[in-house]
Amino acid sequence: MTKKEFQDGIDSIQVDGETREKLWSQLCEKQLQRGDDLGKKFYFPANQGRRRASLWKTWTPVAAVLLICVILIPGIVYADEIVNYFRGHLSQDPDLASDVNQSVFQDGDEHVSMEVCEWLSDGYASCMTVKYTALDKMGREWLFGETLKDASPDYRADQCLLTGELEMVPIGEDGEETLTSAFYGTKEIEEERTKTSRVFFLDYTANAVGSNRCRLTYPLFEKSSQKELTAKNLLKTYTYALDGECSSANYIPRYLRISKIGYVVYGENHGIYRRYEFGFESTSDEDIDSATLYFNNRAPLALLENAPAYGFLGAVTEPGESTCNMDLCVLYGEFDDPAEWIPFEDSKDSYDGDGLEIRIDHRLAIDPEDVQKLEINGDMYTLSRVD
Amino acid sequence: MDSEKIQDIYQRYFDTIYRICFLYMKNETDTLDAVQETFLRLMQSDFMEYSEEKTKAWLIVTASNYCKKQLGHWWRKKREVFEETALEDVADKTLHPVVEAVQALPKKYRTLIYLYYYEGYKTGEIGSMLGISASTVQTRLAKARKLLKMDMERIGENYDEKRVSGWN
Repeated sequence: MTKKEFQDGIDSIQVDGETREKLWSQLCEKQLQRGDDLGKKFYFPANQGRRRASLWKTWTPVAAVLLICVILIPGIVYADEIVNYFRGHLSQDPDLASDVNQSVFQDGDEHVSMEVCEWLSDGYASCMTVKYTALDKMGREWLFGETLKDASPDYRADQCLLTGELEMVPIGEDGEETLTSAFYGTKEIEEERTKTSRVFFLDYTANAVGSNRCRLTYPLFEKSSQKELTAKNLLKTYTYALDGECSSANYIPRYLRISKIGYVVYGENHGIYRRYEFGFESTSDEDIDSATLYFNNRAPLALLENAPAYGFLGAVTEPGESTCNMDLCVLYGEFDDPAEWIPFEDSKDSYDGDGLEIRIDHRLAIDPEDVQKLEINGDMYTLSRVD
Repeated sequence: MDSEKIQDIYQRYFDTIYRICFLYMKNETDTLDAVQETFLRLMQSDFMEYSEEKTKAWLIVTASNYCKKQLGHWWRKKREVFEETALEDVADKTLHPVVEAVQALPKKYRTLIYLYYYEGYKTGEIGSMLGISASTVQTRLAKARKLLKMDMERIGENYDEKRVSGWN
């Protein structure tokens, strides 16, 4: 490849003028929605009244419907579905099942009802099932229509963010997201689909938060709502100090925070990240290439070998209680059952060269008091309990 | 920030930001989202007083960081979707083999090689923009070139001198 060929190739990345203008319009509209009057100045001098009228038109019947719901919905019971939807996605460990929060929240309108059936969280790793039930013909059309159209196993959580659809985000005590890095997704549990109902699995793993709260964004027939939820049961997390020699001069792993379903390794940043004008950037090519957790009474778990662990010296953290007062997240993730790994059909086409060749849906439960030592990039650390 | 200035910045740097985002996101829909978010952040920033070069650098860094973060979010369960979406786009618009090759590079090389060989930034400038040393930039460029099998090191020197003259 020559430089000319390279430039020609890059030149081929283009969009038409119409798309560019459309994007600008949307940009101004978004800015307007965020409260700045910039967009208004540019494009929407006459739209304000229409927007207000539209809001009234939407919210008046919704308010009436909500009033009806407040009266009717508390009577709905889903007792026979408890823990059911986690089946196939969660370890059958009976102790874990007892940690699942059940029938967490219900809402609805005259056409659909929704319920947060199950929620399991340690404050860092969290998963939830949400069931939607159509109450009439319009509700059925909505439930299988455009709003949740993409909520298949391939559903992308970022679309939730953009459209205000179904999404769960752990939050701190102050109601704010305190994470610096997270992986999340929403998918449909297709085998639970009936003619009048659909069930969704929401998943979130963050490197910091640590509270028993989350913010759920969910759509109903005529509106999208948000609700802050508090888990009665929170999986206990344990903190271990790491003792060992780190072969890298750029960071030192210091603490392992671990629960039955997830873990985070915090450390000291000694130059792997450097603060610069616009944020943080990695200063070297160092990655975490291997990590293995050893136990006293079970086989070791290779955390990075085709597993959904996020070991890329992933993030600078804000020193605080939830991050063991460390300024670096070395790696974090959740435990998934290798026996349940499902190979992708085209496993050679690994996205972004990251070696991901499997799809993982099944969480494994480990005993966080049984851990013995942790290997990171060939360096072995013994673990001593801190709390 | 002054509205006319933002619109001017948008028109001037749209192509640059679009290309960078496309190299990460691989499909038009997500690329447009990333471009939009980048300029939205500009609207909410205080970069009015910055020079043209610095504003451009700010946009490039913001766009790259945003894309990397988004790709991180998709890493786990979005892989299949991402490829399906990309395939849909590709069905309409066949990608240039060079674009495919750059998109296949690990993330940390994509912006860097684009900035060096297309935008004409020097290694030191790229280093300060991305918060890495010039020598790291050189190392990564060498790796990227190797991965791309590019034969342009020799002419690259001449190209740099011409292209970036006037840069300070």
